[in-house]
Amino acid sequence: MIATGTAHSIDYRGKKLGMWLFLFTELLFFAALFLLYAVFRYQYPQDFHNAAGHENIVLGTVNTLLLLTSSLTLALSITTIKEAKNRLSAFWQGATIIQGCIFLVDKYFEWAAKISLGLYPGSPILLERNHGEILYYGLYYVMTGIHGLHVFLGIAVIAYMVKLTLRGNITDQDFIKLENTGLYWHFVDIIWIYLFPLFYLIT
Amino acid sequence: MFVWGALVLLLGATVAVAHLHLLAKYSVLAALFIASIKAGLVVTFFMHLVHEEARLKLMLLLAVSIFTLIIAVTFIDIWYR
Repeated sequence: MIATGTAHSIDYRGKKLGMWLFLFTELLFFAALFLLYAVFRYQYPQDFHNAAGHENIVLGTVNTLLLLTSSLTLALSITTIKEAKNRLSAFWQGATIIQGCIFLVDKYFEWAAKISLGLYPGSPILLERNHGEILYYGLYYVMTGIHGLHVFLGIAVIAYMVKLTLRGNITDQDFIKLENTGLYWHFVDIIWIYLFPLFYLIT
Repeated sequence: MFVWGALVLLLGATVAVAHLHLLAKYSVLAALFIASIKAGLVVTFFMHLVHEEARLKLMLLLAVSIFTLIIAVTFIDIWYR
């Protein structure tokens, strides 16, 4: 039953499975928000189109590329830890963190731009808009906000992994912590892969 | 790994360009379809699903199916209001 030929940590398969199960619950968590989005966009297609027209597609594309590349760098950190190159692995983890931080900075600019226009949940300016637009912005803040929170938490966890990697707690024989961190980060990336076209590219 | 990095990056760029061309009502489906391919690539290679046992792949399929089902069944209601 235990994977043969690989000397990983105790209950490697169990730990991996546990992470996947957690990700399934996260998937369903975001599913509820995507469901709201689907229904309201179906009911207010024109309003959604109008509201999305103000989104900065360049920034959104940059953010997408950032997360995609950060997933690559984190995958590279796992490849290198398997080769017992701890310092190089920590470097790739650091690269992932930097890209994640830039993503959050971009998000800050986007949110700041909207808030400076008076478009935040419950604002008088927003409440004068069409109902569909109010829903769009509500969903925008909640979904990108919660996603951003996940990015932030992911960065914190990866930072901790950097520490463990450099200290030698994560080795080429026992790197399940890093692997699970990778799974979490890739999941966050996938959520953004769907958020991007749904909020930025409504033609 | 580098191959897939390049592929995923390419896909990201292509999607951005593809959507600048105004599509019809099927833009949502097209967007979701391309996004799903990208997500599929991330799951398969970055998340090493290729190397996982069949049981895990089945669990993921189940989770995604439930996701899709929730949205589909809700729309059966929404469509006929």
